[in-house]
Amino acid sequence: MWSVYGPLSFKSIAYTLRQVISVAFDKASNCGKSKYSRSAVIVLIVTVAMTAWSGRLIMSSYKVEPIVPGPSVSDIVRLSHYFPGIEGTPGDTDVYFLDSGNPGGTVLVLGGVHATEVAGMLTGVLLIENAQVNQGRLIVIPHSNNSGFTAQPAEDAFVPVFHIQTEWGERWFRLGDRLTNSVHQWPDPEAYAHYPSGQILSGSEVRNLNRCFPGRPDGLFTEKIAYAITQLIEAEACDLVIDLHEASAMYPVVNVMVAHDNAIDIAGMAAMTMEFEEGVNIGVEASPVGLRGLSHREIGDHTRAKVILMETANPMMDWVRGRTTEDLLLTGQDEFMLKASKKGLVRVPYDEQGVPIEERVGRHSSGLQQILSTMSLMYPDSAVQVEGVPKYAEIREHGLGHFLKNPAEDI
Amino acid sequence: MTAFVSIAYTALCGLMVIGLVYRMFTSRDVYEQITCGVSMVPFLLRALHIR
Repeated sequence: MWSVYGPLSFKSIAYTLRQVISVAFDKASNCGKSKYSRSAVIVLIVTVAMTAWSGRLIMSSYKVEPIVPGPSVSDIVRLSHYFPGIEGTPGDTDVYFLDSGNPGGTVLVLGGVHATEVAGMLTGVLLIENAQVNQGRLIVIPHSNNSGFTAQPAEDAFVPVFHIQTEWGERWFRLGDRLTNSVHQWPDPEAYAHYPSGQILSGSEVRNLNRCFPGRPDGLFTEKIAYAITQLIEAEACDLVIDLHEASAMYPVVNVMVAHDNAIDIAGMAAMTMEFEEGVNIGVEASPVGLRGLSHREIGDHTRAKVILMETANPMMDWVRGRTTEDLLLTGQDEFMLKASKKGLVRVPYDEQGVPIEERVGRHSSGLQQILSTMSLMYPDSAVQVEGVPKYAEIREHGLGHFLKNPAEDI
Repeated sequence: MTAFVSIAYTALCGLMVIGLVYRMFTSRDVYEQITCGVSMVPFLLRALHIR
């Protein structure tokens, strides 16, 4: 299907348009309608300009933001290495290996399973660019659903790209859709039956990567991406999977770790340590057995890996929000959310300061590091020791941009 | 099959573009011409494989 992309259609259609225009001009002048021909030319020029502008905007979503490999990055492979069924598709994505070379465990970090929830993707980038892995291996996928980063949710007026200021300039990142791009998987069924449980969900959830685990090789596009990730977990013998998400601030499951039965001990201890050591409150919930397709349920059930999913609060995802701007994405400040908060409808502490990206990435970064430390203590054979990654307080103090590298200096 | 549907869809969008351009240049109504232009944008994008 993907091979049909190409410039051939552009040339042929441009030629056809030229022919039609000349025929139409002749006919128009023969009929003495030159006034209307002039207006038609003007409208056509405006149409082509609108198409060029829209096209440029759409194509910008396919340009992948640069990520600077940090000191521990030992290898970068494509996800299709584990399942060739997604090779050459928009679902294929980079997998970063941060290998200490010392015996220990293997931990997979998933960011961008939902491309709207940018704190997960940014935490992945933060790890890749800063982490010094001293024991074991860290595997990071910042754009787990790469297709989702090529679209924005319909009717939500999201900005396609956002920027983070740094000391040397600004870094740009894409803001995508929660679901796989509908042009890559279409049409949605009336109802989605999850494989293998048979659980029935709303039709559009068939494009939700976090409802498609463990995936299947002959399934739909999103199921194939989920299958590739599951295959990676099996092939690399991952001990732990950490899936980074965001949720609306009015959603009950927010500022929380959701753990599979096999990782509830690690999550509980990590959350307590995070509160005692860093003063950052985070809840712990057990992965519901009856809610299928989610990473924290299916990966734990179908592989030997322990699984923890983390959620932070992103006010841009709340329905009561005002204008959906880049500023709202980065600061989380919104007057309507403030009203909702005063009425007790918001599930996280919310005031004029909002919930900035530093708060959200800081939570993920600290939570992740506490999970790694806890696992290393509780399961020494699976230990993964990481340093150099800023925690919550550092990110809040210096800003996220302080820890992002300059792609121009990447040699 | 998927590739066939994709190519067929592209061809149909191309036909829509041609039809709309033709209509635009033969119409005596400026408002109709503008309607043709605006409605042409998504078809033109798809015909050019920009999606």
